[in-house]
Amino acid sequence: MQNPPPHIWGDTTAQNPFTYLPSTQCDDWLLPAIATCQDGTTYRQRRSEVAAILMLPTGADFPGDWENIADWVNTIDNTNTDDTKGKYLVGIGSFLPDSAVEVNLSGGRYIEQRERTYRLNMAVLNIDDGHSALCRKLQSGARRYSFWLLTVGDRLIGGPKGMKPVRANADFVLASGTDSREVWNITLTTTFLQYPEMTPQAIDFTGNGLSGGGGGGGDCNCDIQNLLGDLATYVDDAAAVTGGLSTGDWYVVDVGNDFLPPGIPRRVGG
Amino acid sequence: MATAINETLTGCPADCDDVLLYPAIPAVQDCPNYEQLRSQISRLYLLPNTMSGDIFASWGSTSAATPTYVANSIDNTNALNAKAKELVGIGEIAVPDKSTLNYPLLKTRTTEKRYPLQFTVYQLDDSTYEFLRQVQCGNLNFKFYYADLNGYVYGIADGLVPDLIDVTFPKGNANTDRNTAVIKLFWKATGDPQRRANPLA
Repeated sequence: MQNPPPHIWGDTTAQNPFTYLPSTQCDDWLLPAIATCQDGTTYRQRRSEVAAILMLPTGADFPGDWENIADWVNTIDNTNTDDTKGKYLVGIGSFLPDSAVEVNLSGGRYIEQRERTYRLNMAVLNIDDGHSALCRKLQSGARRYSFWLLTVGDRLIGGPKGMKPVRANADFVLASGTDSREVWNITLTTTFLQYPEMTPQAIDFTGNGLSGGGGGGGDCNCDIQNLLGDLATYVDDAAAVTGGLSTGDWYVVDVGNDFLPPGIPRRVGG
Repeated sequence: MATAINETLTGCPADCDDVLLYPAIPAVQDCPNYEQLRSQISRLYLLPNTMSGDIFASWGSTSAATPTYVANSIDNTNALNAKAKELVGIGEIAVPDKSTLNYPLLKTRTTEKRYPLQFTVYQLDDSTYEFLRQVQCGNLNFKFYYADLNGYVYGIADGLVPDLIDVTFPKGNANTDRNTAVIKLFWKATGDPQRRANPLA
């Protein structure tokens, strides 16, 4: 299977109907390297819960390097209403396999799995007018955006172009009981051939920075955006010192650090 | 996504190719003349996230570091969240709840702990009472350190991130009972916080 032509990747108004298709899909079928030592207890088992999603409208500019938090700074703005910026939506969610297409080859001697359908279920608990308006929009089947997942385990999932929803819905649930609270349960279904790329991304989009002000309105106090945007990028402390920083100065970790994920702010000297 | 789990442990192996080096400790430990230190929590420092800087400078990376107090960084009279607050009371930290994960080959590891600090405040003038009532809102817009009677302060650089805070004002019915406020402060961490000599002790 070939990659879709560039105009289908969704950079402008064209809408890839469903698939997230990494370039590696058609590469040589070589098993990649993995860790040689796996029998210890020192590696991290990441939490899996989905904590938020990023929704970038079709037509909005993608971040230059989706793995670099600094490149998201001007991509997300919850106060935007003309679909030129993305939204950061927080909740409690899961992302589970829903169904898959299997095809029989060679008279049934081989079976290959093709499109995999995954479903995001996320409960949105912070419900102001803006959240309700957005969720009601999902009820109308709004799908002109790409989305990425952020997990409690510090992962950003979705690759450079995000995932396209093939089905969107939201339900406003009013349960009985003294302890019950209002909740919007949103559902986004997406289809891909291969699980999207993911990266460690121990960055919080919350606060008065990247996500703008309160949902549906409010002023954006962009201090965090400005600060992150001004930080230089270095692989490690040594490179930062070589670049002119001193102990205590902040920088953004670049790709290539053996211990830290790219894109996180770090202070020289720890 | 920040998860408010304080990375209090440093130097842990990044993977199983890495070696955990145990630091040196005293060779002789069987004499009775060393001091056994008091454990009671006596002070709580709350740092609003909006304040500029920290209350301690030169926190360092080992217990031997000697941080210094940043002048004027604590001001209990400040009402703009621009300065840290210092509370004096009597407190304790019970055994934390632990999260243990299974690993292959029948191995397990404790990955994080949730620490409970219970801190009783006895000085309940009008302003302190009102302050603690505001704390009941449950906002986690602060970081904190705590100190013990032995002159140590505990935390990490920039302070510990809380997980939950609440205040209760118990009203006992005994003749000897007094008005107090009990702060319950929880935080998650990979291990116990770092310890330094408290420049404010």
